[in-house]
Amino acid sequence: MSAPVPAPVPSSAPSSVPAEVLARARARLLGAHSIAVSDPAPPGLVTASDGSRVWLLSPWPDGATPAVLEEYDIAPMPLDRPGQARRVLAAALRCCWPRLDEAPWPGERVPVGDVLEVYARMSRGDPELARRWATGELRRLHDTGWLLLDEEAATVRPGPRIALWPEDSLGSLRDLIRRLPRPPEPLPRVDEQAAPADERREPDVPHEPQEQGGPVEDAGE
Amino acid sequence: MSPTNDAASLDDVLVGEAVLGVYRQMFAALARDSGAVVDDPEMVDVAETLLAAFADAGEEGLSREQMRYVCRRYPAEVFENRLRVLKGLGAIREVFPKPNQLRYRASFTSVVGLMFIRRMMLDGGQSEMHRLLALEQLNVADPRMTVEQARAGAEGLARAFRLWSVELVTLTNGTIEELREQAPKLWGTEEILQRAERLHGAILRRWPQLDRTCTDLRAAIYAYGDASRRAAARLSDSAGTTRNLTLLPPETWRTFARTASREELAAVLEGFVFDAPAPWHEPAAVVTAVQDGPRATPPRPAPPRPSVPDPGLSEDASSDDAAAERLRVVAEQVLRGRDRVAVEEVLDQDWTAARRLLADLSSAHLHPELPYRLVWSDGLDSRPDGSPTWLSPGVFERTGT
Repeated sequence: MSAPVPAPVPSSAPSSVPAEVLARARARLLGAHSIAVSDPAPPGLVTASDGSRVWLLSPWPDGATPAVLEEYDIAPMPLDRPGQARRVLAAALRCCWPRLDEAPWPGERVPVGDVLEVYARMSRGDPELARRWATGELRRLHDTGWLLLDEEAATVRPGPRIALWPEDSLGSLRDLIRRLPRPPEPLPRVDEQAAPADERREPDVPHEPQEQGGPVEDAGE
Repeated sequence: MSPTNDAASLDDVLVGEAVLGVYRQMFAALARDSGAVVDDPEMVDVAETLLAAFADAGEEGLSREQMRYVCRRYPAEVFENRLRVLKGLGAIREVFPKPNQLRYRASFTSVVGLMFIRRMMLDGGQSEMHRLLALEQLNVADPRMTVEQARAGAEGLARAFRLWSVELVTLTNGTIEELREQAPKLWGTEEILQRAERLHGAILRRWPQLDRTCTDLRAAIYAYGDASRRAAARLSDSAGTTRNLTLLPPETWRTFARTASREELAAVLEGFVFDAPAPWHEPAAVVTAVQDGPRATPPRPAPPRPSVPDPGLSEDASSDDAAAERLRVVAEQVLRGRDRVAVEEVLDQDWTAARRLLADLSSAHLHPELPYRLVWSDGLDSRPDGSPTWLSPGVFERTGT
């Protein structure tokens, strides 16, 4: 879905509408949009900065998140294939969030191929098909501000909306991401010692299949 | 066919009376009183209920009480009024025209008239027009049709079309709500026009002398087409601005949605501002999604585990060497360099110590890695004063290695 044209709101009544109302309307209309760090951030909005840009997000009252909708038995915004989108998000976080003790935002910029590889290993079935599904979900997550996808450079990094996750809700997510398959090693290293790394990885895996961290890491180093 | 004037006039009167009778019977269902038309549809319902009951009753007809019974839903005065009017107009009459007649029968013409009226009430004059055109088409093809009948039919149709177009023009200039109410009259206009033109062509081909009448009919058809198109244009114009989706039939909206360009579709919501899509992915929801998702490998059933915490397999395994070493030391102490020693020599202590030693020797015998063996003979020595009071002679020996 392409973003609606923002023309009518800002140009219609620049004088009568207060600035923060206008900024809030623009933030809701455009989703997560960014301004330069040097620009003044309008009041009443949550900001997420990665050092060079500031993303403006509309906040919820009392520090709540839309997760409270579930407590009140209100249906959230309908989403096509929410499970798949969240699995792709988890795969992306597996790659973009290497130091799990820190906050996921701003995270790191990683190649899209790594995320697709992780997702293909997570899911069953044709890996090529899984990659294609995941590509579509990456684009949708980019449109909704959960990931920042640079299609030309083929890189992805966490989106500003991830900065809205409260710290105390991240515990189970950290555990989960620790258990996900590791992203493939960067290409140059694989070129140098592809064969020994593979040979050493093979015998390790059957012994301790549950510990996905250790043996692969050793093999890569 | 009486040639006299009196008889002729009497015949005329009779003919006129017959026509009037048909009219009265036809519209008896609509008549509120003998002179006027009903103003309440419920009264038509009474007539219909009665006629249906008569149809069910068969040739016996119905008595007055039976009629009252089938009309029990309606108030008494309404029923009385209807019965009086229907009787007065001849829709319901006595089985035999006698005073104090108790049984009644219904007129067939009234039922047909009622069916016609119902149909007109249901879908207006348009479908009736379809029927008339189809009937007329059949008549024109009929070889028994005369020129006069054809002329009368064409004139009637021309009159109907003229009146119809007048009505449409009035509607077009009236309010849009009125036009919307009458909008069903506008649907399917093309088909009516085609039928009418086909009929017109058929009449003109068969009776070229009717060209003047046919010109009138043609003009009336065209006038109707123009008026209908203008009314439809006004309707669709206002439909485009009012967003009242009932102004046009659903098919029209569907066609528009399918064929319109993106700009036309977007113009409907011009001036509206929408929130950007912002679905929320809670961390817990992400965890649930991954756990519920299809796995790369099908989950294997876990092997059964004791419910109490396991003290640990590794401890036993590591202490096995130590135990074997201890047993080896014990065995070497017993053997003292010899290859074999009799068990009774070894067990010459008190039984408390001896049984511990015997247990160790048995363990050394049973241990798969230790090269010792206990061999017992079949005898049994009884030693009343010894420490083990009975004893089988046996040998503890070093095995081959």
